[in-house]
Formats: sequence, structure tokens, C-alpha cells
Amino acid sequence: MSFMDSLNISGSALTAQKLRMDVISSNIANASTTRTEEGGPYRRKLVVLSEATNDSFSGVMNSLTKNENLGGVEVSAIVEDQSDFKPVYDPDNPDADANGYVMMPNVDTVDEMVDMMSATRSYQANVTAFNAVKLMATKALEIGR
Amino acid sequence: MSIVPISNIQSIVKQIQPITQETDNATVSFTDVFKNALENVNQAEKIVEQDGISVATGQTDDLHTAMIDSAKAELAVAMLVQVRNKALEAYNNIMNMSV
Repeated sequence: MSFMDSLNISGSALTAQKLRMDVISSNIANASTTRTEEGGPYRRKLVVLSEATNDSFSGVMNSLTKNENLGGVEVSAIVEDQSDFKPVYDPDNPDADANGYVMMPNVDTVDEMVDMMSATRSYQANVTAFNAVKLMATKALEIGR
Repeated sequence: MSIVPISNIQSIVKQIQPITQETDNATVSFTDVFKNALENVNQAEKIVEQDGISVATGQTDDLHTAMIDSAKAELAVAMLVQVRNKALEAYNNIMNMSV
């Protein structure tokens, strides 16, 4: 596994965490959205992370000969949280039902804030890992100087 | 029915010999290796340049890809410089040899 491939592992994690952050931002932005294209209020979205495999020639070769194939992480799907919507009494709202209740999205802003902190820290951790790999490569170039 | 003797085999073997020897001694010159490395660095630099344009014009969706490519290019250049230094050092050592 070359140094450049090692850098790509951290890169894939950065891409995944950024997408996760986008999804969290979308959840927060739509925390009180009552109308969507599918009808009904907004449903909270979640990312599903899965282990990625290195599909390059050297990656496949390594998986066959050394039984190692480290390709990082990828977002395999964005799924919807199927938990119940939250009913809020607001008879003046145009989307209120006959009893005056409006169904609000199943987004909990506090949960989203925690997820956001997790995504941010994870991103930082991966940048640190990237820098560590880069530092190793730089140090390797100092051998015998 | 007469069988034709295999007399020409020696000449064939002689023809094969130089080829096998050539592959045994197949060496890549330092110039080729250096040119290859230079080409790789050039490629990395071009990618970084393209990334820079994409970031500046807002066509890219992730900033980190540009930074990763720039880190890769940086490493490639550092590697090339080290190879160059080693080669020059060896050359100078030979040139300074007292005769």
C-alpha cells in the first residue's frame, strides 16, 4: 500500500463526514418544515456508513495476496428516520388537522447538535490522521540525509 | 520413409541465447527513472492546478480533495528533490575523486 493510497483512506473519511454534516444541516434547516414533495412533514435523514474497498488494481491484488484491502469508508445510503412525527397544537397553521394539531418533523435539534459535534470531531480526527501519514512520508524522505 | 535429422537446432539455440541474455541484463537507466518521476510530479502539479481553478470558480464540492491533492503533489516534489540530491551527491563525489 503506497503512501498515496494511505492518504486516500483519510480522504474518503473526510468526504463521508462532510456528507454526514450536509445531512445534519438539512435536518436542522427543516426542523419545522411541514410540507414536502412526498406530502406530510419532513422526515429526519440519516447516513449509513459502510467500509469501502480499494477497487484499483493494486488494491484487488493486495486483497488476494495479502488479504488486506483498506479502502476507507463510504456513505452507502441516506435513509429516513421512521419514528413518529410530533403533533403540536397550532390551529392557526394552514397545515393543521380538524383537531387543530400540526404534525411537525421528527427532528430533535438537540440530537442534531450532538450528531454535528460528532461529525466535526470525526472530521478533525481524520485530518489529524492524514497529517500523521504525511508526516511519516516526510520523515521517510529524511532517511540518510 | 526417411526421417529428416534435426540439425538446425544449434542455430536456433544460438538465436535464442542473445535474447535471453538481453532480458537478464535488462536494466532501466537512471535517466528513464528520473524522467518517469518527473512526469509523475508534473501530473500531480497539473491536478493541483485544476483543483485550484475548481475551488476558485466554485465548481468543486469538497475543499479537502483539493488539499489532499496538494499534499500529494508536495510529497511527490519532496521525493523528487531527494532523489535529485542523492544523484548530484554521487556525481560530485566522483568528480572530486583525486586522480
